[in-house]
Amino acid sequence: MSARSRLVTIALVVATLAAACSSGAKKPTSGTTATTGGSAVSVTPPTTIGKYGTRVSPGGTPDPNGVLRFGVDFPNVFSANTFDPAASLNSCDKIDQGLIFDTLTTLSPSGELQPGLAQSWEFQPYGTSLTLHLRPNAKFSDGTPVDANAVKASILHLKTSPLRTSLAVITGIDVIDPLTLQIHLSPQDPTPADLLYAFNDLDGMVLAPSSTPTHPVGSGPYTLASADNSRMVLKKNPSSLDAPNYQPAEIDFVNVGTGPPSVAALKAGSIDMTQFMPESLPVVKADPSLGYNVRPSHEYLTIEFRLDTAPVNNQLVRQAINYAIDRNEINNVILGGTGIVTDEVYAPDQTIAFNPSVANEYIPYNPDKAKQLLAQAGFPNGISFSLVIPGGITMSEREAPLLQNEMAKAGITVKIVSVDPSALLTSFYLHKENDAIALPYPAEEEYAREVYDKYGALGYTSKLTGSVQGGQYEQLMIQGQGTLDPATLKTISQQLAQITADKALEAPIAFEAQLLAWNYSKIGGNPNAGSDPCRPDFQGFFIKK
Amino acid sequence: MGSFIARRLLAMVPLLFIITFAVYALVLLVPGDPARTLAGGLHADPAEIVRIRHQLHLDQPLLAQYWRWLTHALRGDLGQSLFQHESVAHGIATRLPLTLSLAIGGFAVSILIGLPLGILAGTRPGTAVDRSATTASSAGIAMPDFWVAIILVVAFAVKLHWLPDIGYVKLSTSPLQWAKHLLLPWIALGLGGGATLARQVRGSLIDALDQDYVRTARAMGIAERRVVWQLALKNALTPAMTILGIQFAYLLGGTVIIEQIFSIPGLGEYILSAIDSKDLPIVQGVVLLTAVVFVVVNLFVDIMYGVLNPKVRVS
Repeated sequence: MSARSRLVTIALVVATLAAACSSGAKKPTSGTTATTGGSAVSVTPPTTIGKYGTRVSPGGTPDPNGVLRFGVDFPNVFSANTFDPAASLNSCDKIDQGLIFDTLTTLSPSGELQPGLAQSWEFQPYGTSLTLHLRPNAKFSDGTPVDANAVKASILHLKTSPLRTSLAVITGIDVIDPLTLQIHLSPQDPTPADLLYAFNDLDGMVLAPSSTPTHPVGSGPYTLASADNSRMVLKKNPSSLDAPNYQPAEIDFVNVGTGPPSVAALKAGSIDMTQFMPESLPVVKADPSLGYNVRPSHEYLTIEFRLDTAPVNNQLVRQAINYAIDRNEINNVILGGTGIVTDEVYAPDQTIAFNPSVANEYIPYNPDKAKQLLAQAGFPNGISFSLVIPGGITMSEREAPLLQNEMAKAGITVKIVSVDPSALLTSFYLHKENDAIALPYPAEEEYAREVYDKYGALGYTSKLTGSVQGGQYEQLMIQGQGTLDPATLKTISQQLAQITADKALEAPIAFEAQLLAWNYSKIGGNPNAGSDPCRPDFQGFFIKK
Repeated sequence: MGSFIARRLLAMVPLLFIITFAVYALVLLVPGDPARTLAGGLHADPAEIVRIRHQLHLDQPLLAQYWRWLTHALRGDLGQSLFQHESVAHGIATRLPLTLSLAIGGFAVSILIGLPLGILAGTRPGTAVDRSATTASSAGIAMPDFWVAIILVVAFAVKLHWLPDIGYVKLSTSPLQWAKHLLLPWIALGLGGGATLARQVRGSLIDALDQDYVRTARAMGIAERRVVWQLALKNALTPAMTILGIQFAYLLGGTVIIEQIFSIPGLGEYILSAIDSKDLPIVQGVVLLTAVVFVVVNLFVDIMYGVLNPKVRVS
């Protein structure tokens, strides 16, 4: 099993956990009507971080017929032989399917919910209906209109798949008029805000009635021209409303292994652009013919605790563990210094939720403070706990001994238990084996829902690993799930970030970087690595003549 | 000869039975539950998991599952992939030509390197030529094929831009592009095998040239070229046949890493992702194919022994 494929397995596990909250039961609360809307997503210039940043492509004239060859590790990224989001087993299918199909909603770079094919919406917090108003004049690539009937048929099609779990809450859909539909939700699980977030992903892709798994038809900026096991060709869809935002006339996804092979292919000229791993950054930087963009992703290394199991059920112990992690060392050794150390569950560019006053609560590394807290907790001679890591993942296997050594200096003995990624769900979560787990975890944009899922009374993960019930924390988690108002969300999410850190419910370590490289001679403009490895940004750059 | 082949083919049956059963049982021991994955993962509806498990016959005992697979396989039906939305037979059929192209080309490179080098060294033992050839073959054996592949990519694709580093073009699309895309993988695959073959041929040839019949032939004044090529080499090639047979079968099953490095979507990549996802029908299909190829190649080697050495045929 390759490291990359194991990593993808973990990503699937984590994505499963993250998505799980969409089905978690929530307590209805009263609230006001939330409505939003707006214009198309704008192009954001590449973000820079630390000493790495970006090297953009100077000059050049756009070629209207330009072809982008984008390197992707096919077997580990795309679901084979299908272009039906209902059958998609890999969240990275949105790399290609996201170009073919439009989604009902989208996310801004900072994680705000924005219009997609649905230009606005109405719902009552925890109400049982959600009304969507569709964007007028949208057409599928076969010329048929994207109307309420087509959207209804598409949602019902996706809902037949057990994989599209967020749609299970839908009990019916009424077409009000050609551009309006009302979605009815189960009274047992009324989560209209969650559903809107889910609609920015595979669960919200809109398929034309004529779409099939081998001949997908959507309203996205590209259409599928051909595909086999090593190359997928997408051609520009001139009828797409978003077509002007995308420059390449054609995007060819080319199969190339993750890691050094992708960078070698870039240098050899076999591809024009690719994502790459942090260890290849020095190679990319040293080559003046390559441009690159390094930016923080929303995926962070963390340690999750089993909150119902001693000794990690003790808040002081968890705080001690947080102090006993040398995050800078882990960032430098494991992420090549490209990550952003953190003790907070939200990324710095998730501006609605990120709480600057939380950052550095447990940084820098302080083993003496950890010892002091352990003594306070009644463990003057230290503690011992078992930590699960996904076996076969180079990053995790390198991280484990570092954690062991760092914590040993604080009197914490860590027993590392390596578990095959495919068995993590069963072993740690379902069979409740061991005390904690070290994983890369996505910081989802449904901020309150994310912490509720992990720590709420009825959250999906917390049902298996222990929850924080009652009090202000739970109240905030529930309130936060009922609103999309940015100001309210900001207040609630920042408080949640503060309490999550104060209680040391987990031990966040570092946000990983997202890295994109391209060939200067071929690409102009400002390519952006994006914050999600499964959502590279194909806007903001052009193919040079 | 006919009965010999028939006996060997019959012996194949229990062998394939044991191999496929062992693989089936081993894959079932691998952690993970395809039914849970297909049902939505951690938050899957338990009823849905049960339904999918039943639909895929994963709720049956091991022996029943295996028997079901076996009876279908005997009818030529290798089943449906659990995750790849296609039949295993179709999946193999689309990928086999790529892997065969790789294996046959790598095999040819092995022979093209190994035979001349072995003959050159074997006919000049102790000379500078022999020492150079022996050093070269030792280096060839010591270098892992993935390392050779990376060096070739860096040199010929990244630095010189002479050959492509990734991908595959069908022979029917462009024979030239097909060869250009496969040349580096062929060399990477064939170099180690060629080095092994060279050492084997050298050793056997030195032995053969030291035999009484060679001395007699030389004493009778038969030309050295004829002594080497018609008398000694024919005998020296018999043990080399074993090496070649093993190498070809190895190449067919062992292209996994090379396929990864050169991004060639052949059988290696196919089975690797199937093992990752516990896609049992694919694993079984590819293992069955590989086992059959191993057995058939061994049978071919045995037949070739008989052609090269009548004594073997008689025994």
